[in-house]
Amino acid sequence: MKQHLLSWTLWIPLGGAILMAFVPRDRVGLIRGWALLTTVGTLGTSLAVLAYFDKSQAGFQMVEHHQWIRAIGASYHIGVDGISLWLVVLTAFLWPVCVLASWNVTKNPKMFMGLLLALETAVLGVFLSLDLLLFYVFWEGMLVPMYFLIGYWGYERRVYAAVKFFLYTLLGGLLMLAGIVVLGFQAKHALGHISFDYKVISKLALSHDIQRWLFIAFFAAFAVKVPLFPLHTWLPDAHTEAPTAGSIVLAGVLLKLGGFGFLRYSLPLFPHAARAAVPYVVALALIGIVYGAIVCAMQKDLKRLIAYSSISHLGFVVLGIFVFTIQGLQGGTLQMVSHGLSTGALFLLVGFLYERRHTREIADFGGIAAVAPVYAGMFLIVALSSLGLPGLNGFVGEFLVILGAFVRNRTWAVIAATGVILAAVYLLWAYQRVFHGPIDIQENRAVRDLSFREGLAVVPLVAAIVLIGVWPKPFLERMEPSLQRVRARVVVGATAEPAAALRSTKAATQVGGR
Amino acid sequence: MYLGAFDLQRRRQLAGPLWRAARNRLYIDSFYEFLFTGVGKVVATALAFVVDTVWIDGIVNNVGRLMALLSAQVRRVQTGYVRTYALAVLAGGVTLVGLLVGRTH
Repeated sequence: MKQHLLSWTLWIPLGGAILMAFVPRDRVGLIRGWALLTTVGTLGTSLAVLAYFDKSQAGFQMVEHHQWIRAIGASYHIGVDGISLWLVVLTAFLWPVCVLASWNVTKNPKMFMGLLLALETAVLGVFLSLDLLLFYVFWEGMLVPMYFLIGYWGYERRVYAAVKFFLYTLLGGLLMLAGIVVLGFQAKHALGHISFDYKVISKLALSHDIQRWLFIAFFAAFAVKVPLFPLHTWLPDAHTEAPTAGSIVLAGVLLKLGGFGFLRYSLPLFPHAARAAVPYVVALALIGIVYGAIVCAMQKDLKRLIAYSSISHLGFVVLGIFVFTIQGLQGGTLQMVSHGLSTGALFLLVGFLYERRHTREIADFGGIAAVAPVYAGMFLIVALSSLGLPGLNGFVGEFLVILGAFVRNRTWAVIAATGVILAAVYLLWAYQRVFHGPIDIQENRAVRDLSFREGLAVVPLVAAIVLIGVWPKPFLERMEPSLQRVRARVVVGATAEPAAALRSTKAATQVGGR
Repeated sequence: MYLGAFDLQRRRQLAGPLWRAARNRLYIDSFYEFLFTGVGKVVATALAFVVDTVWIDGIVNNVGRLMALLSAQVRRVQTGYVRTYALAVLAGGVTLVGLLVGRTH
């Protein structure tokens, strides 16, 4: 069991989806129960991965390596390191929440749950793959269930949103595929046989020119996913039109694939090009932080507002990664996990409100706190975590990113910090309009508080939000060695020695001065 | 010195603009409200509903429309008449033969 732990985690959801096909479509209770059982089982194996994970190691752990398609050098090669560990756990953690959030789906629940389970395998596969072709298969495989989740179970403009999401992601993905093929042939050039193995490819000595082109090809895929300004317009549409579970998945993990891609592929494989790209990527990230927050403030649709807040928050992730300081890298990685929890919880809560009132317009609410106090309290905690209140998870990541940016370039840090202020503006203003004030619209009086099932979905998220906020150490220390290794590849003169971590502030200052 | 009975109204008049300024907290709040809430809302509205919706998303949607427009023209080639397709096959064949002959010479 232990040596195949990652394979179990990866394939249990797909296995569950296949078995779902044998459940009669009118046995709705069984369908829901089976989906919940499968996702909870996956959470269990992912927690076992967490337990077995050796936090002192920087390299890949629990590796499984088998030949897959010999003729084209593709292999089944999976493993986990400090960068993917928490994203895998986050994914496994969010999926039962998604199932609970979709409890009341009446339109073909069997298909819905089946696609949701298949999607989990695809997402986990992207995080765990150590073979670029395998990675690409999962990357594109993700698109199919997501397309149907938005396009079939979404709201009014679902087809438009689904097609837009599909085209954006596919376009970026195809450029990346071209890049992957080039890498495979570069390996053939060096070794005599074609290979897509991550470990082989990371040892290739690529010329600066090739690095630049490959960086751009991979960047196209990851920048769309993050998303970076101005490639972001698919996001508000997709997030708003998707059903609640779809929004949680999109915001919770799908956006992280961009940040993860930068850390796993762009930085270590093309260090020269990554260094050269810093001013441009950082500029786009900073624009995203401020622009996303400003645009967010004026949104009339609550779900759209949360969608735009993701653009701002993910800007922090990209900024943290591309300042190349250890605080920035840690902050960016932690911010990915934090944002997944906070924004996932926000979409979940807005979904509950929609089920009660069948509207998402902020103007249709007001005074909800008086009729649903527990709900309002949960929403407040999550909103505060999203705007970076110390003691909750959002603060740790954003603070580390700003700190990491500060030692490199003060102006960047100052601009990024305005994003935190603007987050308070849009979130508190929205909270005020929805939850406070008199109840002007009579329908709002009938809004009931959280049910047991809904509480079961929200409480674990809130618990995790508080846990990361007050005790981030277990999270940070497990990602640090792997991030040091990435940093050692991309920063000239940096070392991956553990001692470097202690001097990292000093080292980072030196990088900033260079 | 005795100024007579305390007459608030008269003192307000005496203090004039100073009284009004003090009364309005030196207009600091109003200024902030104008700058951050007023101007801020105008800028944010412009960014949200002009820059984002009309410009950026407009370009994206127009790329889609352009594709639809182009394909609407290209699909006219597909007439459904065998004679049109035969002509296309003939043209292709002639081109190929021409290329091959051109190469050997």
